[in-house]
Amino acid sequence: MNDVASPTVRMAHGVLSAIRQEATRAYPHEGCGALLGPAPGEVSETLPLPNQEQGNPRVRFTVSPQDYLATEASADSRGLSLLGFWHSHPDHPARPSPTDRAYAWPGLLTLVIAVERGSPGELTAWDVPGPEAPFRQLELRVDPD
Amino acid sequence: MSVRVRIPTPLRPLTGGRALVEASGANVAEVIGALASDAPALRAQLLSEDGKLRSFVNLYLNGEDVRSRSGLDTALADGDELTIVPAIAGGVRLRPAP
Repeated sequence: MNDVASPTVRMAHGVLSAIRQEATRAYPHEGCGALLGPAPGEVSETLPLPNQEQGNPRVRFTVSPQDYLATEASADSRGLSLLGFWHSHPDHPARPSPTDRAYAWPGLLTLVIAVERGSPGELTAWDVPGPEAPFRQLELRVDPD
Repeated sequence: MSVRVRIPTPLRPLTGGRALVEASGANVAEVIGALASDAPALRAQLLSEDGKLRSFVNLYLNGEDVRSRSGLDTALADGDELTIVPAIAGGVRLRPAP
């Protein structure tokens, strides 16, 4: 189970590197991926996912239901939990938008990484403590590999 | 009708951590009602106050989107599998809710 009250998100440095790399590759489109880990607030790996947005992938991202299910099955089969998702904001700050909030689920982390002119920038972590609650920023701690 | 319901990770705290539960009902709405009788918060996650399936929730019956059938009125048969999938999306530009 996910503990949405977890105030801190810990992440291996390799996960941060992978997110930065995929967000850079996706630029100028939004990149996205899943966050998996052994326990709430402990992100041990990321799985890059294709941005299936059909409208304007420079400012929007969509994870297909098929990719969601495959990711969740991968986590379950290995004793991990699907902790949440990250996505990039090309040439925008690493702050969740109203659209991000509209789609956010209690129990799933939202990580946002800024990509400025093709270079990865700030990464921030958020959750929503309840169905109608606003985003709450979480402390993000990156551990050495 | 007895069906299996696959529960997505963010809703598992409401089902005691279980990823797969059994529920009974003649249609999708009845199954959700049965699940909600054990976990009232689950209804609020899946249905709006007027009882409609929330926009950010996808329901698949044996792999087929129930919205392409009869939605919450879609009839069920013994052994069917209902899968709940959160819609995962966002982005910097505001857009209307789907």
